[in-house]
Amino acid sequence: MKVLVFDVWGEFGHFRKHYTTTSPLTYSIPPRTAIAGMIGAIEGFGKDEYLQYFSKEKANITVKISSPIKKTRIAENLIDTKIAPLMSRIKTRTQIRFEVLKDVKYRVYISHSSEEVYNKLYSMLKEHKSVYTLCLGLSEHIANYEFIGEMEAVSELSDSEREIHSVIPEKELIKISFEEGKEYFSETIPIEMLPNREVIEYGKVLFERNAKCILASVNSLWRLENGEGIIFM
Amino acid sequence: MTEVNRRSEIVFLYDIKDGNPNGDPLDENKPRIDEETGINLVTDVRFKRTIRDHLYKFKGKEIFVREISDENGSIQDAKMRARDFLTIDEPLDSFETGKRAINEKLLDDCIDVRLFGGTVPLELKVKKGNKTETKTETGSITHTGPVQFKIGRSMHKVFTKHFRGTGAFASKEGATQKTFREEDFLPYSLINFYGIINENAAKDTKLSEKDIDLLLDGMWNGTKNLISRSKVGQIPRLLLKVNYKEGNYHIGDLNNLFSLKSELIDEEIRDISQVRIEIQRLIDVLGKNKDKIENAQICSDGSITFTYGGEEIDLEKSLMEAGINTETLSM
Repeated sequence: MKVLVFDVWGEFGHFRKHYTTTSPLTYSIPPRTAIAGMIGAIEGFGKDEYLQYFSKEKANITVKISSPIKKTRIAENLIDTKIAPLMSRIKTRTQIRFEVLKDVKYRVYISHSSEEVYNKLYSMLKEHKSVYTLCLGLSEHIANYEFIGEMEAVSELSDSEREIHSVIPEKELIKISFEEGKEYFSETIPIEMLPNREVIEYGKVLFERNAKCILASVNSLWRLENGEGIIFM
Repeated sequence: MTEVNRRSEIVFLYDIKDGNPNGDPLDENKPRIDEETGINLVTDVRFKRTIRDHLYKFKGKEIFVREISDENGSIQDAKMRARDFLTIDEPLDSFETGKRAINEKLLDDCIDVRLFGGTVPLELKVKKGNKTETKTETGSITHTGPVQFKIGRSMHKVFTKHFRGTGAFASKEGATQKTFREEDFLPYSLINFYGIINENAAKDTKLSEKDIDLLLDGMWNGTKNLISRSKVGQIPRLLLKVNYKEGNYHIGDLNNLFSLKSELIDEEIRDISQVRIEIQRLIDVLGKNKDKIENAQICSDGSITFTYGGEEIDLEKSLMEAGINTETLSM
């Protein structure tokens, strides 16, 4: 299987957890749905349509943490625009602390069943182009990216312990081998969303906070030609 | 009006002396500092406010998100504000008709929506089936802004000074002594803002090149003319706008290609004359991309010393030597 690999980074990022409203918390990694949005921005799919191109059936997507996860908070004044008088005598300000990711860098892997979508992405990545401005969750967190390459991925039987570089969906996990000096976390993230933004699947993913690989035995694993082991979300 | 049909990247440097470029509302309005690195942060929201206020107050442009200090008569809410842009009478034949009418006028009138996008809540009266009764329908108009800014950051670590002074008034009626006031200032901060203008999103909001001229004016003069106690020392130093002729392309992260050098330790910097800005990487990266670049527009107040590999240089001349057409902007 051919996989496109690119690195994406920015100074800050915010991928809001679905259950937080007034104190927005962020996921540690971009959920699969957010990555679909980034790829959609590169290829130029509109806000209303991009999700239909990246269902689990059509696209294999996963992500690796390339820079240790750091979080901080940025306070902002928000306005309740529904009742702000004149949008002017604004009394309805709420002060909100946004939890944001700092010094963010991820590696994204994608394969696609449609040649058209795949080839378009390939040519955009190769020329470092993007139709819309790429961001990490919120428009002010502008991102940049670098194409790493198109790589052949080979399915690897993994009844024994293997090095895994991407995040690990928990349902693929058989046994993890915990090592000294690594920090293991798991988060439940949206996996699949309909174009009307109804999330139809959440999934638990496991990751190592400092961008180190995890030693584990899993159900299905793909090995890239650069040696990285990945599991699609 | 010429529509925007090319991508641009913008880097804007300004500095402030004895001021607070952006207070944190949840931290006693202290200047925002990244505790890990000592870098001063200024939100994109603050910066866009500066631009909006300049366009409204000094350029007579209508903006959607505006703050009117005094107003007689009835008070609108945002849904009513949206109705200001409704050119046809209610009740409407359909919600979509009203939404389209409002959207058109909103984009015609409000420069901030064309630049930065926005979300407008709607509540409209619509005719019911039998034409005599009406019902209320709600919805919203959302535009992604073609112009996006990152959070601005100082190019050096900053130092926060805590001031105490005597206020003019007593804290409460009947008190015989005046109250104290306290505040936190930065003795100096040189701030770097980065933005992108996206030509594809520009089509959706009908953004014109004229709007971009006004945006640049707002960035430069809005920063300079923001005369409040905490912002009065703000001076724009450099605006660089790189325009691309290659479609859907931009280099990205231009802000990181400027680096600050000084003989002083970061926290002791107090003036632009005490620093040099090293731009070797900027010149090299732009030079490598010269075939994709239409030109670079520059506005400078002349007080920054630029260096290339440590050697003092002229920014405009070295860009030209790297094969980049340059144009001087006058503000």
